[in-house]
Amino acid sequence: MDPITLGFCGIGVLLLLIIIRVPIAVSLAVVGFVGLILAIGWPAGREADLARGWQAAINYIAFEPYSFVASFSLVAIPLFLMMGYVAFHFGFTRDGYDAARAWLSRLPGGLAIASVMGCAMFAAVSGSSLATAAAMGKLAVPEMLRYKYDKGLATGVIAASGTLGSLIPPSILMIIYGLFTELSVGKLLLAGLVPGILSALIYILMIIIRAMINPKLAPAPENVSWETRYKSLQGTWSIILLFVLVMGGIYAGIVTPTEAAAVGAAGAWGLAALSKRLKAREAKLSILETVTQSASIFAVVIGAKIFVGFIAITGVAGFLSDLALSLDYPPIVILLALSLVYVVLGTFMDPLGIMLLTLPVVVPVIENLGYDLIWFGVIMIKLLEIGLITPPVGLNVYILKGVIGDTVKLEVIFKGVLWFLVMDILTLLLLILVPEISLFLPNALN
Amino acid sequence: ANAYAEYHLRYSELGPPRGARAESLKWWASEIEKRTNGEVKIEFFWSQALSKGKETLRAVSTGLADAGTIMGPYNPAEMPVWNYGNLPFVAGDIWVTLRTWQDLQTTMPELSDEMKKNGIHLLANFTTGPSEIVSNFEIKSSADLDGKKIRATAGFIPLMKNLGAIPVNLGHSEIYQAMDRGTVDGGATYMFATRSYKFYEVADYVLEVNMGQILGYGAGINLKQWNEMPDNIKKVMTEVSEEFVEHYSKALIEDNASARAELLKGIDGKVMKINTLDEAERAKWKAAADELVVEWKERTEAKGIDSQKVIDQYNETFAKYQKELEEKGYPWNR
Amino acid sequence: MKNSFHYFEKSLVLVAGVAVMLMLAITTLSVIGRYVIGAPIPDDVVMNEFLMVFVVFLPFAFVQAQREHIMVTLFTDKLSDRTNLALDAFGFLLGFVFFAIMTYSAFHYFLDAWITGNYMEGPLALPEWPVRFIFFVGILMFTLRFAIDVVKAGLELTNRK
Ligand code: NA
Ligand code: NA
Repeated sequence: MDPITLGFCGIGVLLLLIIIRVPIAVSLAVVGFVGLILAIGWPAGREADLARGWQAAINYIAFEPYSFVASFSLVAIPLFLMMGYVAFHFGFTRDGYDAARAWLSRLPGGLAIASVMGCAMFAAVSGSSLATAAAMGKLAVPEMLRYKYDKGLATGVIAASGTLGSLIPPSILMIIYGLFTELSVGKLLLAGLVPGILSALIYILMIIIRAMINPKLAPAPENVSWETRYKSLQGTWSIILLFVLVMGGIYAGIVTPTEAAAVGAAGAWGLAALSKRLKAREAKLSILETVTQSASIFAVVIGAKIFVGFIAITGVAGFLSDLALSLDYPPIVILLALSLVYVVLGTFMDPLGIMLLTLPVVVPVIENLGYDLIWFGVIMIKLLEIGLITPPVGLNVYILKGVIGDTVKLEVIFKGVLWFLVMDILTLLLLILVPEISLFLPNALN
Repeated sequence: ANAYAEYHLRYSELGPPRGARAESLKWWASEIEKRTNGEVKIEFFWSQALSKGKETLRAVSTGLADAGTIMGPYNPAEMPVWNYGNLPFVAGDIWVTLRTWQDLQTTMPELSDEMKKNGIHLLANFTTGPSEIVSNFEIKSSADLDGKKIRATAGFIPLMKNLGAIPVNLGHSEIYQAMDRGTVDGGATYMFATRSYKFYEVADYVLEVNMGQILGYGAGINLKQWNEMPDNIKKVMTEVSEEFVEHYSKALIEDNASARAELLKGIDGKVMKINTLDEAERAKWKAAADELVVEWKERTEAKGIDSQKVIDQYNETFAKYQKELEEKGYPWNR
Repeated sequence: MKNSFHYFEKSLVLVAGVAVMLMLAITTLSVIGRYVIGAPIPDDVVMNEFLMVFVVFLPFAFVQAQREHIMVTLFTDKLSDRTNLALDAFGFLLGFVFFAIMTYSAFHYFLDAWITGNYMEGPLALPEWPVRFIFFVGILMFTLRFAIDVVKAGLELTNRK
């Protein structure tokens, strides 16, 4: 059986299952599993030996999820989630957003803008987009909803701004890209900084314009007195201290980003005790919600891993990249075609999976075309980040859905994200047309 | 005949398609393809895109991958004998040690048994080359390590602790950032990696210790797949894998040497100072790792394996190639 | 019977909760240890990796009981309740079949570690089998939860005729 055909059939069946409301984790895992049996048991040009495919696939669905989860680099996700839940249940985020609301009352969409900046700051400490979305989801979304922000805007802004996590340094994806290309990790990380900030600024601009046109999206308070403003600051010291603890800890080199997640969570508990807010009910809720949300997020990610295992064997990712790279057109057209391939792959795969499967094909060609690999790295990371918020498999959107529960439907989040997606494409075009945005900082380093 | 190779092998590899091992593996695959007239074709999945490094043993033994880079260190209980090679200060020269382990795959039943038991046929043994220390402070003796935070994994953790340092367990890809931020003051790594991972951007010193190498890993193939293949193909694959030892040793030694020269000269204006541990001091370091050999012996005995016999055969084979090296030099220079 | 299953499901979530607090404690104490007494907690990385398995897999069944596994309802919202129930039943059945196979496989994966006595390299040489057993328990409970939900949906479908 032709593996490429099999791969595309698998993608089709996956879509169908998701449409008929099969849980996403189940859809991904089932299609990945059956696909693996066929891809391994029935290789191209040979007779079917499904027993062999069964043997390989059945073992894979045990050892791959287990080993994927039992990995130190993922420890940050539940711990950052916990920091978010603790800060939420003990009212630190409420204090923070009350202050933001008082001070940003004149700014259309003030809280959403504060959330973009919060995400950007969080991105600057965490190396991962998923961790950024997980932590900021609980910190920000309930607060915006409390102030009657439009559900799509309140969730979309966090799902999208969460993607800054891998662009603004540090970034796990960037480091892996660096290993693949033997580029300077320092320069690569630096190259992502300005594009990350640019993405955030473009988001902010879009929020302001939309909130001005339609004030209902982001209701603003009327005439906040200076007294109220100063008073609102009183409660903010804990959330500020928490940010300083986490960011300071990483920048001063006292802790690694993973350790920072633990220190941040411990700090949140400590602050709850210090401010005499610690209560048994909220404490229990914080812990239980942390683990149930970790489980629901990881269920999807594990499903995605099994599915990507199948896609890897079919060679679909390499096939599509090859298709774009073999075009007989000017380099810029090839680059745009390749971008399209990344967007398509991003709809149903996770960023790391896409990167590992496409880089061996893509990097040599990009080099031959005479493009700067640092610049291309930034563009590729941005493309992979876009994949985190595109349906049907948008991991950041799923994380957010997990964090906020039943109050907002998945479709509403995807719809809310759409505006940010359009901005991302704009940012991407800017990055492609003006390479200096990415390159002037790392080049200035010389 | 059809358009597809008779044996299309999926190979699950640990690292990216760069560096000495990757280049040697590509050579290995293309030689096999050439000498079997295209009957065998090897498709690489780099950087654990198909299976985690930790699980490649299982991925290959169950047929998810047909072949792959099998990691002994993740399976210490399943492959005790092979893991002897990873103990600090057991390895010596790259070619001598690699040649020794490649030989033992066929001559030491304890070793080939544990491969077979795990459903693997080992084609080619690998090595990381000598472990050295990069740091942002100068190390001349173990006294300089006192109270310093050093990245280390596996057997190097107790070694560092015994020498007075504070071991910090980090993945190799985390060293750069941890050195940059000062989370660690130094880290166990390799000369070639100091260049390819750009550690010269964040560290000033390299200490050549040759504290050991990771040798308990290599290219394995699914045993059932191996047994199904006709003799002529097996012969070619064995032959190329034997040549791989020479090819890979040469590439790694040259990579280390050119990295060393470049680091001394400076890359992008960043010069590193390289110190070499003298023999007396090195003996002291070696003694600090002695407990690990004792522990390894106990665990291996518990599996019903004569550990002294393994060590003796290893030493004997090692001595043979060490002598050959001293008398004739490296094979590619003869 | 039904209640005691749900009770067990909930207790697993509590175990996961204890595990995440341990992760927090171990990592924080290890950082403090590094700076204060010059020694981190031995095998802190391995312990964290093990605890991840508790945190992620043990709550799977409970999360399904709460219907918190993520799905897309956009395309099915306009269909009748009955059709939706039938689709749910189908999804749960798929989940049951897949996770039943995974349970079987997870059990063998646990047995492997038990028989070989595999451990993680490090000062404490921590054995792997207890953690793989927890993995197996989490997946088994998830499968049973799917079985219960399939039966429930099936009964509801036939009752509503
Ligand atoms: Na980041
Ligand atoms: Na997507």
